[in-house]
Amino acid sequence: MNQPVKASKVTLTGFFGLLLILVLFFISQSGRSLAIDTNLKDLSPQLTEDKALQHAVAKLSSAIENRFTILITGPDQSAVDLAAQKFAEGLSAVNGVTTAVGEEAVSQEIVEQLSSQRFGLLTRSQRITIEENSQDELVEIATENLYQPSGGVGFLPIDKDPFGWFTEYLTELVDEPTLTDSSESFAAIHVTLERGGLETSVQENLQRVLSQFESDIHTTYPKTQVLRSGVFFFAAEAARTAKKDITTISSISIVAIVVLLLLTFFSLRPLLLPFVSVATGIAFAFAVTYWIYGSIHILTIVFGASLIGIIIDYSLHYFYCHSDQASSNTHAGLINAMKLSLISSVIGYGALGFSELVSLQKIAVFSCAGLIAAWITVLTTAPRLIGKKITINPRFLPPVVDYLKGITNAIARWPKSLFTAVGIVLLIQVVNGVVGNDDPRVFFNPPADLIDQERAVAERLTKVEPGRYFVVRGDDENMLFERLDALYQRIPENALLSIASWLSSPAEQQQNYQLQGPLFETDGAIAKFMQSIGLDAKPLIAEYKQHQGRVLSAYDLFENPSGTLPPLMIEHEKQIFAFVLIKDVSQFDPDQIDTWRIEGVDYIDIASMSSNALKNQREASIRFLLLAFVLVGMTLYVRYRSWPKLLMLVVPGASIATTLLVISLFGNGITLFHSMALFLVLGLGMDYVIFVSELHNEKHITLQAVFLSAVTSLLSFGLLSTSTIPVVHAFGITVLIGNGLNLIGAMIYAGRLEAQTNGSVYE
Amino acid sequence: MLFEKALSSDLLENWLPQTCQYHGKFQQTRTLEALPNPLQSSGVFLFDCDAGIIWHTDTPVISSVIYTNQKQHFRISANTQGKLLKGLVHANMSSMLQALMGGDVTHLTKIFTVELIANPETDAAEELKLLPKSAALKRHLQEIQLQKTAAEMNIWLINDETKSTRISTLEIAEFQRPATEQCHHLFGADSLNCEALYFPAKLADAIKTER
Repeated sequence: MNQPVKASKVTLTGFFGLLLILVLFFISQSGRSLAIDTNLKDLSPQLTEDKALQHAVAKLSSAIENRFTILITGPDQSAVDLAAQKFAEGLSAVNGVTTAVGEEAVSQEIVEQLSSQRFGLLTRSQRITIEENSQDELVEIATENLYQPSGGVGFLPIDKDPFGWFTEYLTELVDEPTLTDSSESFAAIHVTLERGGLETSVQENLQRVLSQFESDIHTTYPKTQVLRSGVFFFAAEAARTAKKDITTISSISIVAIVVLLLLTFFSLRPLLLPFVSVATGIAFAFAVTYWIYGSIHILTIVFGASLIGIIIDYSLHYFYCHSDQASSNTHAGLINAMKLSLISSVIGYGALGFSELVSLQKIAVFSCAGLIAAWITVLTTAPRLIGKKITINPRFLPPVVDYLKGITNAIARWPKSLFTAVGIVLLIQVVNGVVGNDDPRVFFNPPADLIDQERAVAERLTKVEPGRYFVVRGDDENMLFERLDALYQRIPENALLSIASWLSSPAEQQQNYQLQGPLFETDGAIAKFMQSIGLDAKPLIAEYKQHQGRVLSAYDLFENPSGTLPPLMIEHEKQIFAFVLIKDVSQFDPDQIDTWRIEGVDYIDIASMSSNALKNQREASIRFLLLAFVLVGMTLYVRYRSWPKLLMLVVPGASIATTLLVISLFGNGITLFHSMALFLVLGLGMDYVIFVSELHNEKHITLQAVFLSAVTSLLSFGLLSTSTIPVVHAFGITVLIGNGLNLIGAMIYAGRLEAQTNGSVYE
Repeated sequence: MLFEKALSSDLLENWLPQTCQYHGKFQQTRTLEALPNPLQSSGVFLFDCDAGIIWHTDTPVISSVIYTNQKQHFRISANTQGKLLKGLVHANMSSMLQALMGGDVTHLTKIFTVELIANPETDAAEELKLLPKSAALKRHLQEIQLQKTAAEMNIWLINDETKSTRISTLEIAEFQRPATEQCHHLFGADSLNCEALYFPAKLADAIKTER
């Protein structure tokens, strides 16, 4: 009779410890909503080693994530304007949302600030005009301007800007749309979120509000169309898909596992231990991840749902070792196997933590915490929850396992030389046939409708490239502007958008002021012109004099602009960073940028840099995988003190090699996420061979337990492989193939152990 | 709505010029709040729907503005080679003037709502009011009023309460010669005005090269 043994003091202490952590976590979170993060950046490695540049890039990305545009189009401008106004008013009422309606690239607020410093602002052609013309000629030009059809119409009254230079300054530099000849009218609503553009709670609330407004607008103005543009919508869509996947995967996973367990054990009693261990494991994993990172990523939850298939293994092995078919002395072997299995799984999952990708680090923490908690829970609660012996249904799994054994035992009897030959062929194929794919686009699969809307908005508004820009840094504003000037000399001015598009350096503002000095003399051009049209120049001359020494700081102006623009300038660790956004990438050749490097100017191409970083990460992950093999090998040696036992590593090793080959042949190459999933293949493969080895004397039940474990894992990861999220699909398909091969390998290993015992193996 | 649209188009059809190439004289009065007296000017203009507009002021200053269909606009003063006019203000003025002078009803009804103001005594149409539909345009232009008599057409651009421009066109005549010849006949054989109107790209290149 094999009675469950009570848990040790250490295990009990561990169990109560994790219960305490759980209670504390849920008390600390009571009354708060949990922050579920959908930041797609977590899937991208750090683009640069430069910490200051990392900060600047992160700041700009965060600003872009919290902004989006709604474009209302339609045949009638009045209807479009009214619809836009109504839409914007409704959105502004939502907490933490500000809106700006219109096509202006800069807000009225910025125009007002610029006008206060207008004596220091001149365009290049205005400077040339002042330098090349006498004061009388300037009066003549101003007079001609005044009488032309658009003369006298500007941003400021004629007594504040008699030469119309400020109006000219704004209209020449700011790229605004003109009255189009197209039969379509449109109005843009630029929305800025205070924070949380990538949090699911914010997204859901806002998406609901947007859909409601959209429906109202369609009812009131049936001919209008609402288009959406911004990272926000892509993240929200990714979150929606991920949530759908979580619900599907976890529901099907749970139902399938329950059905499997019922068919295997013919009783409801065995459902209790898996339920308790899964619940404790997932809850503990959630709490630990949340505490460390302050939020939980949506992808972590998706992978968490698949962890169910692994956590349940401990319960299954426990059941089999305490079943009617087990002998009385299996408990010690079970504990040893469970210890070794936990160590190898933690090594496998833990190795993901070495990745620079935050998303994989979170998955590593989540999985390790979940596995440890579930392991402790099984050992602590199983003796009470199982009660009397578990009965195994002899007509469900045993015949399937016996059939498989028939096949794998035949392979197990192959001579060693044949195994070696197969291994060598496989290795050659892997070296020659495995290809990498580091294109970051394979990780995102946005819906065509969102891409179409994004394109439609870009065609109508001045949009900047979201993934390509320059970061210029300097110790002060003058240095920054010098470097911006150097950049603008290499790329056409109208292709770029930066602080230099609106403002000159402090030094140049001073020069502009000085240049106009003679014009503002009492008998200068300004006085002469104003006098000629009956205006008193004295107040304006006095105002000019008051502005002596004043400069407008670009930092004050552009740190947090409202309207369409993200921040164009930030300060970090005594350095100033300016972002130079690209309006029209076709006007220069990005490949040439490396040939004219300017000090303090970095070109950021997210796609290209991500591709390089992903390649480095993928290659590093393979090195870490080899390290994980070494660590698991060392663990095996410590346990068995036998070199031949290291051959257990061949099972996950061959599975990994074959998986790489299959994905390379039938997929689009090995991505970072495929290679990261290989750590799980290693962990699961080791799990199976360890149980086979430790419980070799109970092989009839061990193989059934391994088979049932593998089927539950295959179910979970098989379901992940059906995900519409490319990253999740890559993970799922890798583990599905690899673990299927692990099962076959473990059974061959069992057959070989049996053959060795019987002396029937060919050496 | 349909009725309103039909009315707008019909009204404009009747009010706007029916010819595609013509020239004439203009008198312009600009009122700016800060100025004690309105600014008076006069000159000649030429409109060619295939090329654009020459707006030549001869009193009190001599200067021309050329708005072309190629979206390149110039200011040409006496004895200067010319200057490219860039920016939103010029682009919009060009687009609006060309639509008004060329009778581009589709373009105008897209941008403006048309209102008819009748004489209360005779009930005859006296004035047509164009009200901008776009909020953005409304900030710079409150309304356009068109007044038409047998001999002349008056355009009154009201920017806001403080700024407005009244333009009267008179002595309007269709082209009697081929377009460029007509232009040279009006402004002189060596006038840059005609080069700017009919060969804008060439002049723009010359200006850029000189810079």
